[in-house]
Amino acid sequence: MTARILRIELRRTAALGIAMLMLVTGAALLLSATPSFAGRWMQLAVMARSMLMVLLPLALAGGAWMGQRDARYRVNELLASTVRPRWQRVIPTASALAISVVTAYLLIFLIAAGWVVPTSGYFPSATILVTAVGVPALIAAGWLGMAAGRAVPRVITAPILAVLGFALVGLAPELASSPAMDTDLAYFRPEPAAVLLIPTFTGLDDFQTIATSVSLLQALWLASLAATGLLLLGASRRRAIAYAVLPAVLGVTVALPLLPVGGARGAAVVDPVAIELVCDSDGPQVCVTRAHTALLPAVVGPARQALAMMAAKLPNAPVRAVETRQVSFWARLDPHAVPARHSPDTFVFDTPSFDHVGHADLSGDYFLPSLLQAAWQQECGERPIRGEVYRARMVAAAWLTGRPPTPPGWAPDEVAQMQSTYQAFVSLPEAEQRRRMAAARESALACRDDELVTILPTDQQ
Amino acid sequence: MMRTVSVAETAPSTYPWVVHTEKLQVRAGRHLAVNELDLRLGTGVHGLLGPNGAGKTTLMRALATVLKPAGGRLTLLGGEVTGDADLRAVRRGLGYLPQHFGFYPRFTVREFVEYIAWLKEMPKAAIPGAVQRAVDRVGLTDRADSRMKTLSGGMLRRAGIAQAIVNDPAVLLLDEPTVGLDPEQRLDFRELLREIGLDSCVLVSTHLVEDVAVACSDVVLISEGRLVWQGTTGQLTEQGGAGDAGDSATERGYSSLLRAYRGRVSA
Amino acid sequence: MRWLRLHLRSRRIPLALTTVTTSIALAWALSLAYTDSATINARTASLTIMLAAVAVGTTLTGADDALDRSMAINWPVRRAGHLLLAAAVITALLSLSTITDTRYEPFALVLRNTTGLLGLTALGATLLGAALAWIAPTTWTLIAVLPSMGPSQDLKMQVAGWLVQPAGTTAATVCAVTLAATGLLAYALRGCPLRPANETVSDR
Repeated sequence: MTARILRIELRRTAALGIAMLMLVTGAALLLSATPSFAGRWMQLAVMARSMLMVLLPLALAGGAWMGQRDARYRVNELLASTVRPRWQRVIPTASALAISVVTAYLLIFLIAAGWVVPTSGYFPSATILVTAVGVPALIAAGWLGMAAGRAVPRVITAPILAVLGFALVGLAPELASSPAMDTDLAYFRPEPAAVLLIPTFTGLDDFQTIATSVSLLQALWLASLAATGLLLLGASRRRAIAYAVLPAVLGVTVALPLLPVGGARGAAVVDPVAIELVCDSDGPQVCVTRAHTALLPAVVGPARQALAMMAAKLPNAPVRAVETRQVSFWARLDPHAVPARHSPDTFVFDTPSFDHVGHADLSGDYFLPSLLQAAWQQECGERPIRGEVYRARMVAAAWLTGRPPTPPGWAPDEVAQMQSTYQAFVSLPEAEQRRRMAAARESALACRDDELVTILPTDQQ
Repeated sequence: MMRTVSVAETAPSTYPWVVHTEKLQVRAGRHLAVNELDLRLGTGVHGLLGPNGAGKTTLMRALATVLKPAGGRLTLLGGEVTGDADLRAVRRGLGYLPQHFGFYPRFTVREFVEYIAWLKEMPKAAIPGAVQRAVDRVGLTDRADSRMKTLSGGMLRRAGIAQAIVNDPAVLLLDEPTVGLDPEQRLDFRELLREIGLDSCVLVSTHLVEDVAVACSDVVLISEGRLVWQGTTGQLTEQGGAGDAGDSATERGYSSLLRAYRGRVSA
Repeated sequence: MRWLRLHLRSRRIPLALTTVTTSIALAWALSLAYTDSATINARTASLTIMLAAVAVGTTLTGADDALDRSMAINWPVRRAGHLLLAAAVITALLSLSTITDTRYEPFALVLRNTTGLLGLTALGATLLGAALAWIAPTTWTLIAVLPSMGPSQDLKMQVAGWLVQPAGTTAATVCAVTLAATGLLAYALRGCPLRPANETVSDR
């Protein structure tokens, strides 16, 4: 019989409407940002979790709307004369809301997965767990919203809850990570562990995954919160309301001490499968990471072109091109870790941009210059780099192509200055150019910049 | 279509009165709307009459266990209704139509009556049949699957009656059930009342004196929260004389009793 | 003045006014206490104005639409005046903060966001009824205040996040003016959809 009542509730209440609103909003937002997750399952999972920033407030508001139903239609008098106590009565309605919001969330994920399946390199199993944490989060939001709507059955309750919910899941994490100026770099002080109680993520590096323990702890805490919401919804006596908060309290006391500090950066670990290399060996070897497998076809051409240019003009030129396997600095908890250096027979290039479907977006004429500059780059750890070093690398890359540098998006007078620097360099004798460039490359590979900046005229060093 | 009757129902009752109140006091807000009311109701159709503000709706609410009595004793179906008692057994035998009948507009009639039947813990297998039977008895068979917000006032009232009778209650409380019913529907309704009153205790609160005169076997007259008079409809008509206000014998009896009561009170 | 007082009470305006004032004051107080900047964060301000607009949305209908419509007074003018007065009140309350250290500013931004959100609320009230008028402003504001939305050069982002765009952004201003004009016209001419009295009473 409860199945029949559940069907009635699904068809005749606002649950499906709320789910439609969430589905349309979430899908529209997610599909407008496909380059950030196309071809990568883990990024899709993290983006789906970041959609909770909008979905959780909507679930709260929708729950508040549904919780007011009895007061709005004045059925309380009639229902008070029936047999079943309130906690039994709310179960079909609460279940209908839970089913609806969860279905909307999963549908958003599945729809966006259409932009991941064709171009993904591998499927990390953590994707499922990370996405699944959103399920108890939405159920908790819906049920807490229903309890609030029943307690304060006014129209204004729903939007107020939406704002409060957003302040909690959208604004609070930003406030918790207040930037603290370090001596050399501005890096963010690790956020307290409580930030991980909030189920949204703002961003994750392509090479990272979320630790299983963190996801499980979050799921546990959110499930306890959902239980509290349901108990609050069904409680009629004051004592029952007091007992209703026990599951959430229990969930916090268990999860909070075990959660790591640092927010998403603290919860993330490097995924060893993501940084495995996938190589194209028909010719000089070009490798990308497994997470970025879809980029390989587009990258191979320019990479081999760059290798040829380097071989033509540099002694001891690199013979293979490898994509960087460094996690971006903003995603690292410890920015001062020193990574391993690569050998001179390889050059390491930065990941190109993704386009909407997960292939490489090489438009804008930026990629080949960045490949060429990589001959003068090395993993030296995070340290401040002077502007002259960047300009010197640009001149060096232009020297390899044999044409003046045309950095896109620069002001005309700065472009003119770059070109004059280049002209000054190529006016030197050919042998001198080669000698200076080779020396600059050697010192750069040893993490010294002094030879590199000698490329520039003395007045700009 | 008859419903199956359980053994418990055919057993002789162990209590003398279906509804029994002793010095019942019920508050509506801060005002003591029902003030030391003694009432004894058995099987049959009882009409509840009284001026506005007499406490009829409050009394109905207390009998429906929606309001807790502030004092005195209320016994329904042999079970005492106090603040902490487990009212579930009593409520299984109750049917209640409030004066303001709140409903979920998007539910269909059938779905709403099913929902109430589920809330009254009727056995799962019996619900669809009981719902159909209730809907047929109130004459809404052709509108059973239309949404309640599309129903007219009279049909809504009949849907309300349907949800009240779906569990064949031993105590049926109807507060203003004939509001919005056209004369033909009122005739059908009286027939329905008489049929139910054969083995249940029905209490109908209404202002329409002709309904009371025709359908009810017993009349309860209350004013200012107290019992003024209880007797058969025949006795009520005998109370009235030519000098009393009213267009029918029942109305004359009503106003005569009220006048006498007010005279007693002010004296 | 008696009729005005009764009209205000019938539309539950004292409660709406309290909500408006409380949300504006609360956001102002929180910004004063927890931030150092003189201008209130665009996101906070947008959420506050949204709550104010939604509170006004609950006053857009009375207890019985059918009864109201049968009255002989000039409803379109009254409804338009209702909205314009609400916009003026909210803008005035927000501008009160300019005498303090934490301000809702600049004025053009405040005016744009208030009129745009009120127009959206009124449009929602005309299409869905006053009880559901909060859906569109709430959803759009939530989208606009996401951390990934900010002042941008892209036209689509400027329209989607019009609330947080800086004061002179053409696309955002056009969007707000369109919403305001459409909402005002639709609500003044059509009013809320006719619902039975049971359903129009949105609060107890």
